[in-house]
Amino acid sequence: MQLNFMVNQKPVSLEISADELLVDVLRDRLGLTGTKISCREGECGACTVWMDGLPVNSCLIPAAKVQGRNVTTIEGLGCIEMPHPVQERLAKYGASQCGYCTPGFVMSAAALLRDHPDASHEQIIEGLSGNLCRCTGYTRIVAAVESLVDPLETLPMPEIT
Amino acid sequence: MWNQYFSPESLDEALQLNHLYREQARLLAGGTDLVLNLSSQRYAAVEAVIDISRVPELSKIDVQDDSITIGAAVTLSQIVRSELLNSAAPVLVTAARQIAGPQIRNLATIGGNVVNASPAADMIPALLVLDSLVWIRSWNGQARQIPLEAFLLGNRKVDLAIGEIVTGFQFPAPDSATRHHFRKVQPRRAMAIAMLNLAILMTVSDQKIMQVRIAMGAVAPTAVRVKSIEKVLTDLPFHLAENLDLYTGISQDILPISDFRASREYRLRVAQNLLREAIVEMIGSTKTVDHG
Repeated sequence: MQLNFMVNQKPVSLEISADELLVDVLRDRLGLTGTKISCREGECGACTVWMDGLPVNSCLIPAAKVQGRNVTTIEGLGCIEMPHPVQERLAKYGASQCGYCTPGFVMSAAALLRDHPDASHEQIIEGLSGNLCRCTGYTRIVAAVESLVDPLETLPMPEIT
Repeated sequence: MWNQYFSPESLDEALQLNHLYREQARLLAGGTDLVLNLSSQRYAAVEAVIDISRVPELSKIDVQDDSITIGAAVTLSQIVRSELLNSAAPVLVTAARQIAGPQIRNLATIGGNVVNASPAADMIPALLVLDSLVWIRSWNGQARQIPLEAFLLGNRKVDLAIGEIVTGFQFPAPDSATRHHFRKVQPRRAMAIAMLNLAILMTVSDQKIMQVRIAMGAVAPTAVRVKSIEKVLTDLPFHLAENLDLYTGISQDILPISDFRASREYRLRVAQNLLREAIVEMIGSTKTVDHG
């Protein structure tokens, strides 16, 4: 079937089989390998992307479900030259060890701060509860995200959908 | 997994497709369980997946004449954010908020959680105490509605014929003085299946429990109303509610099993203690919502 959708604000059109999953289309067909695969069953959050602005697990989404929709991946949030504020802060706080879970955390945290610029500690914990990290732990990740809520430390959030 | 993927934009179109492919079709709303079950081959491959998440009438939360209707494809996130449900049915909001994590809640739907009919489904006890009806439509335009209790036939079994679609849930809006409670026993605060879940609605007057509806999940093949204890508690003066003996009759309504999550004895004891604790908390508080 023909799939037409927006990825990182650019239109994409490609022929897919009806049962391909979004994570595979993004990684293997479009080369967007920033989105990671870990559990493939919606438990770990490594494959988190935004569908119409909402964080979702791309391993649970038939690619056909995003027909005509907007998908944002980690490549659409920032890059080395222009990191998203969440990326800048995770680096500053040393909040990555192996880094495999990091893109998923960034997608969750960026959506949370977009919707709740003054998120409480509890809201941050809840907002990141769908992402697992198995090496560095959560303390620095939460501290990095929380620093963006601190009025003295915050950075302007870019408008991305 | 599947050969064709359909995204109907009206209920009629969805019903026609469902009728056309019959047992060779699977309805997908959020897909958070279905996609896993198809891709792991726990479910046999099918010809057609019919994605009902774009059908507008299935994605709405409505109130009319003090009766609330929630479309089957309403997501758990929509429920958590709904101002109407936060004020009128906090028991449902608290249940939805404790399911999985944000990414799953943005996809998963109330209809999927109910029709899947896991004994541990969190939305079901909340809908049971709200006395919810299940609305069902079939391809030839026929509609029926049955009480949720009757819809649940067993572990992952519901009263739904091939060709039928659950369109939503309807319940009377509880009076604003009604007290709500939802509690989930789970190994961590997110991404966990309930070892036990508990929903309670209660009205009180003159230091007495007037009416109470109690439902529990993960303690029987389906979530159940705990009617033996409801009877014991009705018209009970507050000061008597702490007596543990009142709650021992719970084994008439629940049939917990032993599995890798917990043993039968543990579940029975937890059920009794938790119910007593919840009732004592609810009569002691002036708040109308208790978040477990």
